[in-house]
Amino acid sequence: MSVIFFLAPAIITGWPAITAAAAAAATTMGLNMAKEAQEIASELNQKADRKTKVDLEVGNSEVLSENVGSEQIVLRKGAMTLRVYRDERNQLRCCVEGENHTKAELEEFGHQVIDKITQTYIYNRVVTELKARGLEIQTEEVTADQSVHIHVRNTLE
Amino acid sequence: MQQHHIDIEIRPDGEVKVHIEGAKGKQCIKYQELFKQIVGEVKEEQLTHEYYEPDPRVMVDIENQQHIHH
Repeated sequence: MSVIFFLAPAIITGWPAITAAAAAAATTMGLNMAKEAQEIASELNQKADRKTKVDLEVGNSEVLSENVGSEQIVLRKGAMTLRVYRDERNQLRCCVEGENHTKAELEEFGHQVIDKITQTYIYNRVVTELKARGLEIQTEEVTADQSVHIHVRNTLE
Repeated sequence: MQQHHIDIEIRPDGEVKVHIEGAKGKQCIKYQELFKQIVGEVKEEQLTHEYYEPDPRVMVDIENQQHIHH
């Protein structure tokens, strides 16, 4: 045994990588990804007074983009709608709304989705970067607690 | 021939645990730098006795997958 270390995930990337991670996370969690995000976001704003709403920050995040404002992804689960968007400081945020849900329920759902997007983004990045450096992935496994285990062997002649 | 084994655990909240086996000293630091670039800041590390063993006379260039014998 040599060394074990723990790393805090950071999402510092462009919008396409976030969209890819959100789409994969939505599939895993059985969420519907809205096709017309702009229209749904506008509809949400109009009905905002009737719904409970929470807004969550995604820690350690920065969206690298030259576009201003329009980037967002809308996911739905039952009566809950979750909007992932970039704020004016280029940080990733998540707004969850839903009728007949408490703030605590919406927060829990929001954190679940943020965690899954983060895990998926980090997985995509780890696999892509290791392959780019010629490191050989031997095995991959998802355990009961939903952790992803990757084993890599690096042979030096 | 040297073999390094890297076990990566990506937890449900995105936190990553990396366990490097077979690498010593500065080789471990190179791997740690690589994972910092890929994932984010190191929160905690646990060094084991093997970390403190003398480096074999091989330098690893992870970026280019090259090794240089001295």
